[in-house]
Amino acid sequence: MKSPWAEMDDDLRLYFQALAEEPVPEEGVARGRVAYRGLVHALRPSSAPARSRGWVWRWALAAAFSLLLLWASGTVVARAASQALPGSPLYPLKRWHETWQLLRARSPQARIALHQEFARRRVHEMRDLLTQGRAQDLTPLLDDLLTHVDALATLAQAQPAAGPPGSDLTAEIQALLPATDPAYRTALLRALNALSQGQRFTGVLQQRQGTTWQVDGVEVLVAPDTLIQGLPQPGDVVEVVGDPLSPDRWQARWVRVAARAATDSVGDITVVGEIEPDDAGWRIGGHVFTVTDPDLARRIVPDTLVEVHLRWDPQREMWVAEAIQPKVTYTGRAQEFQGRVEAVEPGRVRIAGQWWDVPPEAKVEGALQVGVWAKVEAWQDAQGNWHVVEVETTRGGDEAPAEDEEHDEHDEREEEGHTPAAPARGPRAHVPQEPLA
Amino acid sequence: MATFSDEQHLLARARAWEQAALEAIYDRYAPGLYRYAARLLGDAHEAEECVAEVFARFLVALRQGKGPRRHLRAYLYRMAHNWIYDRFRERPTVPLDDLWPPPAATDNPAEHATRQWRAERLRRALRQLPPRQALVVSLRFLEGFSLEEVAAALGVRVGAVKALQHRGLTKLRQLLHEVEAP
Repeated sequence: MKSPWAEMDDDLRLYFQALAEEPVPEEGVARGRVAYRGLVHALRPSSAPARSRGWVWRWALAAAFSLLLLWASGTVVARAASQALPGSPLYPLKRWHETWQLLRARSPQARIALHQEFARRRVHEMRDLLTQGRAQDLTPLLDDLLTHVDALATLAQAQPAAGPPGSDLTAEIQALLPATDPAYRTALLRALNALSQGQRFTGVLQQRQGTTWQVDGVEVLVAPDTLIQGLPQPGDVVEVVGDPLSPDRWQARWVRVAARAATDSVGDITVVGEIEPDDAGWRIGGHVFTVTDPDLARRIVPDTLVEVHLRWDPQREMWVAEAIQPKVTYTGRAQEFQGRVEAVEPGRVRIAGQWWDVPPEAKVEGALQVGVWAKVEAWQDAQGNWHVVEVETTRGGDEAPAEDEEHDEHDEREEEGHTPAAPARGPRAHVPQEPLA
Repeated sequence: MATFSDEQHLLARARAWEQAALEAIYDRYAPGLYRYAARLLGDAHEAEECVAEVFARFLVALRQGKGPRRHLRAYLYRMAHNWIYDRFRERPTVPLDDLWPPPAATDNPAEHATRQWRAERLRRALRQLPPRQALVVSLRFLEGFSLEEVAAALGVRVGAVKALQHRGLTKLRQLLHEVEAP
């Protein structure tokens, strides 16, 4: 065959000859072969079952695949799998590569950038899944989103010079809120909470007057874009996240009910809520208490939903736990809505076409009768049953209850897309909820 | 060199995810791709990365039911070339005239240095060619592709390859002459 160099002049041929004959180390090809075999195996179609080759072979393949990630600096996997969604064979590669990138990141700034990028990816993936009608697949994405967001918050606190993490990310999460189920909104709101780098304090809500609330003597300004969780009522313990304008005046970014108002302060009470450690012992629903019975103390699992029977001890001047019972597990699903009462039976009520359990501890304001409008706060247990925590009715049956000023603000925010839109059917969801104590 | 039908058969087996076929493709083409990348990039580590990416992209494409239906070799080289020129775009162009002066070719070490000097200058000059001209020139004169194979790699007619080759060589002569002129 005629050499292509014959078409060149001598001078040019010398150049090509020099480059063509330049020695090239060949080890890279052998290294790449091992990694390539690992990738062939990793990408094999799931319909073709892998032959059983024992654990040695599997470990060898795992090692080979790790080598591939090292070898290719991971970029190819990221590019190839960048559009993959959960359920795609490439999606595990995408997540592997992210883990690998985080492991390689040395500086806090680099880690912040990666966590932001990966959190944003999860949000985009959630958006795509919702578009495909795959809302049931969101849970692992939410978990990972929260992991990245928590890491971001931690890194940002350690690196204040790096600035607040991800205003773009915050906007993207907020944009996702209206399209998601209330259960998932709770997790998204937690992510937003973690991203908000404002300071926070917890206190008793003393008064609500329009956009100005009083919390433990501090004037808290509530703006239209302030996120409000629960229906904070005077007497409730609330957590405020925001920016202090002065020692006694705050601009709130976030207000959530940390604990419902205590009932009686003397005698015996039963409180249902999440049990949390406290400097003085334990805390539930705003009540700090101690446990004198060692058997009882051993049964306490922090941050679980329990029912605690408390007795006031005048000598100690504090509550003492008499009994602690675990309650049904909270699923993360909670909502507030309003609708017409369609049927009432002992222990349950039908509103907006759905039956709701009304346990004895539920707070019922007004007469629960067929035909009245009711504003309901409810949560769902692990078995899928909805439990009413609070229901408020109006006397007349024809009109929806008059909203207070804060609810008007909620409606405005809904119109602007800040808060969740009402579902097309079923109860109208106002504000996503944290677990209801 | 693999015949057309041989390559087609291999590709069909690879599409069925037959491991032996997939490995044969690597064994057949990876060394040449690696040398090609190393020559153009001048860096063995980057060449490794390039080959890794090319073959991983190839596998992913096959897995997604895409990838080449024919001209596998041309397809792989085109991917490698694209990867290399993407990498070049991320970096400033390296001038040809800041190399050390050409050694006098009086003895073997000097000849060796002269070859290195020429190789590096050609590498830099190739970076300054338009990517399609560079692909044609490098596949033709470094990898020994026929005009038809290059045409398959670019997806153009043989006449267009000849035109690109002519323009590429003319530009190379110009670049190398300008730099070499004292």
